[in-house]
Amino acid sequence: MTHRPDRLLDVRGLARVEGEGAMYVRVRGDRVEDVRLEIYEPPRFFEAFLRGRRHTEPPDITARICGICPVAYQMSACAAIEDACGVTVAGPIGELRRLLYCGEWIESHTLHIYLLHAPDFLGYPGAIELARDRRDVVERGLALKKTGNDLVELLGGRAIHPVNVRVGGFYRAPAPAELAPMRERLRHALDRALATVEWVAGFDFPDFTHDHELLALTTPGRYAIEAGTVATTGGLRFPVQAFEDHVIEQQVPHSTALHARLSGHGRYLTGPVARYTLNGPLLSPLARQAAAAAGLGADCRNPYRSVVVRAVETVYAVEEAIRLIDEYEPPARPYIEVPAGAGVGRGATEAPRGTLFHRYELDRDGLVTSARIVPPTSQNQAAIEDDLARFVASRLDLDDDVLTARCEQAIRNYDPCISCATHFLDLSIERS
Amino acid sequence: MTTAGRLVIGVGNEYRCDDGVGPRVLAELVRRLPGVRLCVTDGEPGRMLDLWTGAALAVVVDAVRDPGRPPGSWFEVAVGGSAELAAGGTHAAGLGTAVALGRELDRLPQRLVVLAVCGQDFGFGTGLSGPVDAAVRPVADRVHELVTGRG
Repeated sequence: MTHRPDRLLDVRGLARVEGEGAMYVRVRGDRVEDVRLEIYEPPRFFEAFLRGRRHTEPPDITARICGICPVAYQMSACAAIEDACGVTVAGPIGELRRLLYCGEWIESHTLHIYLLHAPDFLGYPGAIELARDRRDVVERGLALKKTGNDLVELLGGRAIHPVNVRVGGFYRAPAPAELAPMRERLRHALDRALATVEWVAGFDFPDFTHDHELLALTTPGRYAIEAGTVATTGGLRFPVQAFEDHVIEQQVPHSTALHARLSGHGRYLTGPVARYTLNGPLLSPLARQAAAAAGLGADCRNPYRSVVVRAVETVYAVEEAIRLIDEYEPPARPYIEVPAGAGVGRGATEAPRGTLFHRYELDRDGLVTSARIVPPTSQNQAAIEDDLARFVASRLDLDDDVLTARCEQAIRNYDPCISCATHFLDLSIERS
Repeated sequence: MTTAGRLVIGVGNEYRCDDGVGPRVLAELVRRLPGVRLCVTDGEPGRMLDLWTGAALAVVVDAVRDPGRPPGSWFEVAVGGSAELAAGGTHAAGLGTAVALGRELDRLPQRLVVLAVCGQDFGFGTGLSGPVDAAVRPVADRVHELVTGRG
């Protein structure tokens, strides 16, 4: 039914997203009155129970925040702790971290493309129904995803919540011969990744663009993954150490995840589209070629095309993993000593869903006295809600079922990881 | 009977109390089933398919929430061609989705048996509740029977 004076799109349990959230859209006449991405997943208290833990523990503890992107949490935690202790990790250990991270990008992006997002574009309720008709395609996705999982397991000891990561590096570095079989598998994965770009490029994308300010890490000379400084399309440039000076978090009543905005700028967006727009020229030639063939320009402002960007980034991650294996020289020691000491440290890396920031304050014994974690999904909430409001306003002629489905798809454009984003809400009681 | 081609999969998170019953049962079986592949996983469908594809027998031990049954009770489901397990959303994409996807992709094991243990506490923390802890031994016994061919 269309053109009713009052319409309510109310999806209590969003499907095909990580975590538990809801969507609420109220329309009065031809005006969208209220849009809420409601994150009701309970708070998880990570920042609270990190207090009092040793400086060596945050990588393992925060990895438990997410089963899809535990490497991102480990890498940001390590970077922040090492920053607090005045230690820089680079060279072969830094390259091993990047290799591990490539595995996570491959598995996370592929999961989202094939099992979560593609069914939207192809008119299937989910991956199971897609598999019924396109077994070959789903098998390709599962094989590609498995390569990423296995790369994480090879370096991290297991595919989820890796156990080989420690502050300063790794407990054990692999011998080159251990990586050789993975290199061969990655060559096959590259074919699958390229086929994925070609496949998703053929999807039908709604005509829709946004004007969000985009934020991502940048690294001179290469596509930022495990390190970088912060840049935005609004012209901001600042080191990770200044992240909290620019990013303001605020509580909203309808979400257990804090919203974020850029001081003096407003809402912003992080994630693959931001990375591509800010760092696209630093992709490998093959990835850039695949992007161009898929119709991506210098930037990407249609959030529905984020599926193409993820596919291009998967090509890059596979290629980069091959390069890192080819150039791998085992470090003399798998880790650098990170002596405990008092200080405040900040670290950020590019999780599959966007920039992931950690800050830790340590006392003289190296115990954590405060922790702050800013995941990408919480940063993206305001942009998602803005997309929803404008998307609905321009498509009021659609009936409720279709419009609701399109709105859910709009949310899935950002691959939200709601479990990552939930925070404890501070409670204050006023008494008179 | 040989145990080749047989594996046991414990699904769950040992840091969410009774959800850890699958991994706990597998720990019980390490010494009792030498040479048998014992795998702990989170139940993500892709990983489940990778684990059991080509297996002659896969026994899956998982916790379930069932208000109609007392905590610690357990039941056995032999997953056949038409058997259905609830397939949740992505966050809860677990065994049901794995079975459904495996069926579409022709990647189910020759025989798939699910032992589902009813939990009562899925909150944060380690350790099983009393009734679920009491179920570990009989469930492990049943897995042993199935894998060694006496079940």
